[in-house]
Amino acid sequence: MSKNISNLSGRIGLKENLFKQISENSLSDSPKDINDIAKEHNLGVSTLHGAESFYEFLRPSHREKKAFVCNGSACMCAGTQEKLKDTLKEKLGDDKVGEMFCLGHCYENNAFHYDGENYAGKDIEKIDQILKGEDIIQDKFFSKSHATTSFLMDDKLSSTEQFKDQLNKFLKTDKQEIIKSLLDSNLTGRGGAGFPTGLKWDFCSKAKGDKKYVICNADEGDSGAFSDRYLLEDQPLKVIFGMVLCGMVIGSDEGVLYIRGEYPKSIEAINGSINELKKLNLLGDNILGTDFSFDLGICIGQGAYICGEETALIASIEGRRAEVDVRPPFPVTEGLYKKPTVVNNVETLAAATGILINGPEKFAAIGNKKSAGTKLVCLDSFFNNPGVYEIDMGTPMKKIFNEIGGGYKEPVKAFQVGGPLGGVVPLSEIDNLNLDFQEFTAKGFMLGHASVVSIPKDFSMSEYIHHLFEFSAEESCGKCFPGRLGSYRGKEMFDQAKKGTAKIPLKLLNELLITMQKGCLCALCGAIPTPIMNILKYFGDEMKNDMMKDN
Amino acid sequence: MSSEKRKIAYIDGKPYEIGANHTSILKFVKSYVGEKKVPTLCDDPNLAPYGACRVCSVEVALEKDGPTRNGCLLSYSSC
Repeated sequence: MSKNISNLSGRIGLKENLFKQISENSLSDSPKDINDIAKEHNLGVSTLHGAESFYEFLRPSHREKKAFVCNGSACMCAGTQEKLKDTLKEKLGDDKVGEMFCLGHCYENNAFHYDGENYAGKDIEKIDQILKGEDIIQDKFFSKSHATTSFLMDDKLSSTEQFKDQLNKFLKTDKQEIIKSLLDSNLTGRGGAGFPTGLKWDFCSKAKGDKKYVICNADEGDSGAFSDRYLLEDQPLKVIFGMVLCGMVIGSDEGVLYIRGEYPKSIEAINGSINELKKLNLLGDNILGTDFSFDLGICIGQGAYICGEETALIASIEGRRAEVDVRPPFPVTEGLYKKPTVVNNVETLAAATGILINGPEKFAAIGNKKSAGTKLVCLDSFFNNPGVYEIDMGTPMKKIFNEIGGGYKEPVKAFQVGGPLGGVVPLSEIDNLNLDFQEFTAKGFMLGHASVVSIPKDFSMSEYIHHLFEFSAEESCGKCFPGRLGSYRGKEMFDQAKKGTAKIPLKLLNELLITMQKGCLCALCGAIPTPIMNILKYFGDEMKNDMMKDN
Repeated sequence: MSSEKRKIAYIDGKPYEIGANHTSILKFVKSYVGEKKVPTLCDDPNLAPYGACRVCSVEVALEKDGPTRNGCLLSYSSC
């Protein structure tokens, strides 16, 4: 069934893709009848309704609100949001303030969204100016490379002239040589799954298809992470260059960046770069007089975390409900519109660019074979030096936290590393860990995106688990039963503990977590047990009073 | 699958031959133990395997700490 929808949606194509049409129509002041759009495209109206009702931003309850307060883990731990919410409610009215999950301002907190812009830190003091529509000067996050060789933060690709020179060079390079460079560099996907990037490009280049696509997954929903935001806003050409080269290697002439709607500045920056490159014939038809054509567009996410999962992201663009599909077939053989597709994370694409410019041997020389090169690490506002840093793989975590991060402003007891699905690492374990994907996994954690959310000493761990279950209950795509029901049952357990109406049955909770871990279709509900199990293991004593006695 | 090289899989310790129409573990098991003996929720002969209910999950036993996968989608080549 979904295959038919994919194919029908494929006839509309990427430029005016169905998802874009549905969301633009839904957000417009004078929307067309959805029946007409369905009829135009030969699609069932239920398909369109299904897709529309999936997204938070397209719901009437969301659109009635004016301001949205960030409810990501970092802002929650900082404890800034209640007061912020009250201030906004006072100005706008009680029913005009909603919530959004992580606006990527984890380094200063107090984050909120108003009228298409994000504000954070001390911006709330200027609320009257903001409400009047005046532009205010905002603090930028701190970024610095501490790497032996910088691949992601250098300025070797910061102007369109440099883009042109490099593109000229690589358009003449043999495709196999580019794949070999990526394989030699040992670059693995930075989105979480860690698949070798060179292999992915190689598979897709060999896949048969009359049309192929390149997708940049810029749906960075992980709370604590703003590294993709850094790359999209400060290094947009690196990301785009990675996509263009990928297109050249796999034989694709069209790509899309799926950017989350919570990042308006990123959308603006990428849009600006694309337009500039198009004017200079560095994107579009017959780039620099060669027979290689590559067009690039943007898809704006509408507030669904699950769209960071590649099959859900593809379903989203196709205008289906953004539910996870089973793999295989993998997107490299059957992806967008059932055509071979490479889906790469923002950081992976930027790293691929860095590797090709600086040489793969330099990248491979850092870290080890499975965790090679450099990685962006985001530190939240509990550090004395919050910001995004480029760091060599293999660097001891205590060096990153104490020297680069400059230690903590307030006493902390644990860190959630790698977003809401990453492990919760107690302070005592930090000394035994290095920045290494395998090392984190071996100890029962997950490095993931390498974002760090600090949990302060006096923060209730029961409350933190409640936050995690609430998150997965809200963001679960609803397709697989263990994920849909499991996260909700977990949330209920901790709802009751929070209210004090019932204690937590530990045995039942453990069974629930194992069922979710083993049975869920994808990494959202399948990995949410990781941090919860970590907390139960390391902070079980602290939670004794919330637990039932006899289990 | 060539006829001289028959492939065998075990159900409850007993060997059974894998036929050409057994495109997934679920189909294989159902064909030998009976359609109604294997509980499923989202499996339907008229639809492509959907993988939502997870009731037919199987553990990949030949790998140490092998992952859990759907029986309705798992072909023999991938295990």
